[in-house]
Amino acid sequence: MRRSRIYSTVGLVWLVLTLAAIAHGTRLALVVAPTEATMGNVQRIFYYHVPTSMLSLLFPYVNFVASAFYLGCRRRDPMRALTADAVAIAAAEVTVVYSSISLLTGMLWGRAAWGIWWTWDARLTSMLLLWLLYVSYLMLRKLSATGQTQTLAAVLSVFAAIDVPIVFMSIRWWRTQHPAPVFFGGPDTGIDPSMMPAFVWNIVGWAMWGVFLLVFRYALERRRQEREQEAALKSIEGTLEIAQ
Amino acid sequence: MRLGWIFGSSMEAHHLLAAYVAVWLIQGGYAGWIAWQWARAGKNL
Amino acid sequence: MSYFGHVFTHLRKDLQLEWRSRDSVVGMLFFALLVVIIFSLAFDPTAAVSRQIAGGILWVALLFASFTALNQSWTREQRNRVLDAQRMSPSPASALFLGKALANLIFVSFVELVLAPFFLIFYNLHALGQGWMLAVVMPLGTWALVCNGTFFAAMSLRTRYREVLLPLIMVPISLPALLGMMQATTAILTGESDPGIWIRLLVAYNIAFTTVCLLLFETVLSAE
Repeated sequence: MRRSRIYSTVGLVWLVLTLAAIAHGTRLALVVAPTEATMGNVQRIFYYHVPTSMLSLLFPYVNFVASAFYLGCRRRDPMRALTADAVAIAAAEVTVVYSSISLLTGMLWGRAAWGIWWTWDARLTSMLLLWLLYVSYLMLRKLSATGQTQTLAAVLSVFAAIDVPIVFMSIRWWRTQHPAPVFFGGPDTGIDPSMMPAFVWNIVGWAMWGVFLLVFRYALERRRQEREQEAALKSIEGTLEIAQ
Repeated sequence: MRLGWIFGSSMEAHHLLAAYVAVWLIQGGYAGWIAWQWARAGKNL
Repeated sequence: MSYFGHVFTHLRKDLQLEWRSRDSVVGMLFFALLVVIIFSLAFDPTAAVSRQIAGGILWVALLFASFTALNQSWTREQRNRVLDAQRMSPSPASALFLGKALANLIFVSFVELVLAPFFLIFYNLHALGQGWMLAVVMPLGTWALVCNGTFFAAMSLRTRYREVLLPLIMVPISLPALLGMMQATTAILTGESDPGIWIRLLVAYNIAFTTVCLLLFETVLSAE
């Protein structure tokens, strides 16, 4: 099939470009970017932490749009609905991966810079709650009865998407009322221009990687769906033969 | 190589190294899991 | 029959069933009481500390108590094939949801009223802030728990591990509301801060999620 050949070639090229971008960004982050005055070399964690955190806020919306598509299409056009569902689960898993990394790198930085693994500040707490939401989505997919999984997960995704802005706002109000030590400096800390190249290359690289993961996971899910449908067809054909 | 300091003995350096390696392990691990599942789904039932 | 006629029918059915057996409310009450006692043993709070933590403990107790009741309220429907009957009847599915959610609101509110004296006694509480605002916070918070709870209990109804799944999917979604109701209650009890912002959060949360629950309940019922 020529189409799958094209897909795999494009995919491979994208992967190579992505790895190149990440390698370049990593090199810039570790070697070229200047050492930060107050925090020292540990600050270099930022070049992985901040892009990952920003990207982890994007994928939930991919999941939401795909889930909304699924709910809209599932009666009229089941085939397209299945495609939407595959995008939804891919986006949810990538969200969990990126937010996990955001939490982990944040904790390692905090431990090195402040001596504490955790603080219930606005950003970390909101990221933790985001992580919880999408882990619960994955748990629902795992534990629900087959046949219902996709619809129930899509419904939960709508709830989660509405919840995300409410979570961020409410945690911010909470921390305004009861301040706690803040990781990563307050709202005024900007990025020095000499740090921009490393930062930009890491955002680009990890965004490309995120797209790669999304598409790869989507392809896996489509393959599984096809296997399921083949199996279902085979068993139906089996009963037809007996009826004859 | 100018990266020698990373393998130094300070806690800072250890945490930095741990952070970067953890990211590669998690991202690579997830991609590897997808690839493994892909191969498994490709086998005939 | 009008929409609210349907809602009222469902509500009355749940109230009557509960009145006859009273197992759900009694179970909730006892569970909540046990949680209150356990926290007392855990922290052994002075009066000042009590005011700081009582808001949190109260809502934790109600949250866990409501888990026990929520699943059970739907299994009752399942046992009596009510959900199949619902699919065949002309009454809108959201009316069934609303009736049941209102019934659960009444049950949990009843538990709160009975629990309140025990709370005051065990923690030697009296509100330093404006105590009357509790009458605003309690229903708002209870509705947030009960509305989402009834919906997610229906979602986890036909799955395996029903009892595990309900808290797993309900709590993350409800965290902002839980934060709001706990902070508002603590603010009123300690008088140290203004509960206004939390009350506004609860109102906005309730409006948003009640709407979503009403719109999506039909989808959940026909999820096959």
